[in-house]
Amino acid sequence: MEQFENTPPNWALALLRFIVHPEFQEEIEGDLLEKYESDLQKDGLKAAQRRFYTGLFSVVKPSLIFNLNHTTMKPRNGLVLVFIILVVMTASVAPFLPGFTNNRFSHGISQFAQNIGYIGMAFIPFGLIWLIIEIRNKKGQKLNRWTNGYYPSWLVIAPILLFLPLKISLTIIGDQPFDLLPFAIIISVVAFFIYRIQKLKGKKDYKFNPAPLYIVLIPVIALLTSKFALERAAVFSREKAILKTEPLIAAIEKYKTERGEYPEKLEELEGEYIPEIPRINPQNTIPYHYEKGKGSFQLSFEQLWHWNATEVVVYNTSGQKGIKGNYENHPTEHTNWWYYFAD
Amino acid sequence: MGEFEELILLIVAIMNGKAYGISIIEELENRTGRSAAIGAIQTVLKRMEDKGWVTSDFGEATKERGGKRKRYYNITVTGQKKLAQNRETRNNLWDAIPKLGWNYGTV
Repeated sequence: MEQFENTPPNWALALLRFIVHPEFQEEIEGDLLEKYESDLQKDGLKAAQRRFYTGLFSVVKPSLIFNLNHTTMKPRNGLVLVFIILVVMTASVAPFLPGFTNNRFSHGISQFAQNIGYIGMAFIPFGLIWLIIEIRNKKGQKLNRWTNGYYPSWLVIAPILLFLPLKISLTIIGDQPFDLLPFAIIISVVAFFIYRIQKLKGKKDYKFNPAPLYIVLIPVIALLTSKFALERAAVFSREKAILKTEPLIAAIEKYKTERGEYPEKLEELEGEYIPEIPRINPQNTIPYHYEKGKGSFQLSFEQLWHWNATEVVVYNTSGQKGIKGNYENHPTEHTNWWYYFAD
Repeated sequence: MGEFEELILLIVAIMNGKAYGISIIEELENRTGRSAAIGAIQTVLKRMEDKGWVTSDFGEATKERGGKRKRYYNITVTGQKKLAQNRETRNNLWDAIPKLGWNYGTV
């Protein structure tokens, strides 16, 4: 094929071919080259190059990069994806949802959703590569093992298959706990991808495969929900539970002033010092833990939301700022209140 | 239909089978004085093709295009109807302006 002599820089042409969807490449590249040639004759090299770069910049548009309008995904798959995302988001914040109690059950559901985010993170890079291949496939194009998703499926499954023996060895040799939940997730992901690979083996015509979309979106949504909704809900709930104790702490101190020592139990305060002992949750079912010390006392409560720990919130008048042998302590905005995470 | 879409569809109709990316940009500039980037024109053309207002076919490859083929656009019957509909709406709006309250030629 005959080429004209003055062409735009090769890197710019390579970039153009990389950006534009294969279905539009020939026509857009031709248009830009024709314009370049005409500008070169009329206004010289610099103007032609400048306008070529402007034209190149102008094609950076989602519809020209991905050809999204022609990406055929069954509506059912879209609905399934939205449904899974909603389930993951709801499950993640379950411990703080109205009507739910902050207990082991809601904590387990939340941990499951959060684990999807953490474990799924490892697969996002492979999911992204697969998604780009999937989105840039052309209608009616002949598929090979890369473009039909066969190899990309293996790219996702390989790290899981490598991780599994490692996990088992660590359990046997290193005496580490064999976490059932991540194991269950890994097994289901492996099963799903073996099924997908079998299906993709004989795929000849291009049809959008939503599997990479699931791999990328679900962990991202799980992580974002954990970071921006669950953590904030935990802070809000902690603050609320701390503020609820203000009359209780005042009553304990009043008891001490009048009787010279702190009460043995909170129940001793009821009636004379406080009309009703406050409880942690809105349903008024979970009491605060109270412990009398030598010239001091400690109030505490637990929040179950963290993906692998229990949050313990403590009020201590002895000046103690931590529990021996425990994890890092975090201060709160309230005097004598701090919290830490325990197994 | 947006104003830019209408302009491009009119240009495609005017060019009667000879409309492709660069030629549309030149024709638009000659007739309206408006300039447009290749990306903007291509996006609108793809959108109009999806809506069934234009069809396209590959044409010849030329030397100045680096051997790449042109993609020629043609207006469809649906596109023609859409343009006629737009024109009628505009005409009705023009006709609805009260004659007494309209000073032609003055600002």
